[in-house]
Amino acid sequence: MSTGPTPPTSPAKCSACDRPMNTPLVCDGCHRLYPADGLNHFELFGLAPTFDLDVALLRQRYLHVSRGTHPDHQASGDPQTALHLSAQINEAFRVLNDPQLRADYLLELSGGPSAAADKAVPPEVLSATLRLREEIADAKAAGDAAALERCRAEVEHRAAQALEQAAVDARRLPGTAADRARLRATLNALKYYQRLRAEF
Amino acid sequence: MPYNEKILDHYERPRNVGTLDRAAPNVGTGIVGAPECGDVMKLQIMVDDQDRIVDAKFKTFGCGSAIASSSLATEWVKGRSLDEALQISNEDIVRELALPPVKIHCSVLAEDAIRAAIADLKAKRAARQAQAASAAPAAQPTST
Repeated sequence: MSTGPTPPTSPAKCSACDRPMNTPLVCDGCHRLYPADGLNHFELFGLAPTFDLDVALLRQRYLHVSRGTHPDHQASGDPQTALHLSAQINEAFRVLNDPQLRADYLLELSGGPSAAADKAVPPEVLSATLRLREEIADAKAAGDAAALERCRAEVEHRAAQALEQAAVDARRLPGTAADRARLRATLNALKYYQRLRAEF
Repeated sequence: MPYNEKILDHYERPRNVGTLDRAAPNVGTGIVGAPECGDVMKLQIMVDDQDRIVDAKFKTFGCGSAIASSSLATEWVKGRSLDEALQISNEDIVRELALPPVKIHCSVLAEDAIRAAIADLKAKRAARQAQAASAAPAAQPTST
């Protein structure tokens, strides 16, 4: 899929020490930092934008880059850039490490729509969410642990199904506008289920 | 966040919390939500023969502003015709409750809920009329 017109800004080799760059942000040899402005979350870690991400590699790159931006390595360098980069890679890792957020981010890279722009959900999701909120409130008020557990199981079942559907659609991105709208609706449903989880 | 007294009043003593019979022909049900925060809101209206809203109930699972917005919406729609109820805008709710900018979406939700309830009522009516129209010719052969 297309990732927009923003090629990595760093060179293949470090311009300071001439060593090859493994990730676009930090030189492993001299710890020189390269500005990450305009890089998307995948590009920050030098990864291809795909739903089926190698999470072990993501984790490895994240730790690697985190070391590079650590203040201990940047004592003589540029602490402001290091701090800014740290915040960026923490956010990028948080998003890419979570399948739901990763699918949402891939949808954003493909042109959306965002949750704010399109609030639609698949049929029955809103009424089911309302019913579950009522049942959870009733079960809590009555101290009915078994009923609460049934609600929890239903929320988990619904969330698992929605995530599976989101994965299928996220792999097909960018697809058509209708495809993206369907993925948006599934991700919106997941947001309601996420909120329901907080009730347990 | 310092909330306006009117929000607190509606939040602490919400008006018209409850449920109307969803299957009743003169009841319209609107269920809306905000995926960003996971809030869900149900607003129901009941109309008389002249299509004037005689009762309204709501159930909202969300923040204080969402509860206050829907509570206010149910108070406002009562006694109005459907067309008059459609005139209620989220900006009216924002003004009345002095909602802060981050809570404006709660008032939008309440406006959406009113519209969804009215749309549901009209859709039910259209479905009944369509059913009556299709049932009428079918009844003719048996009468001859």
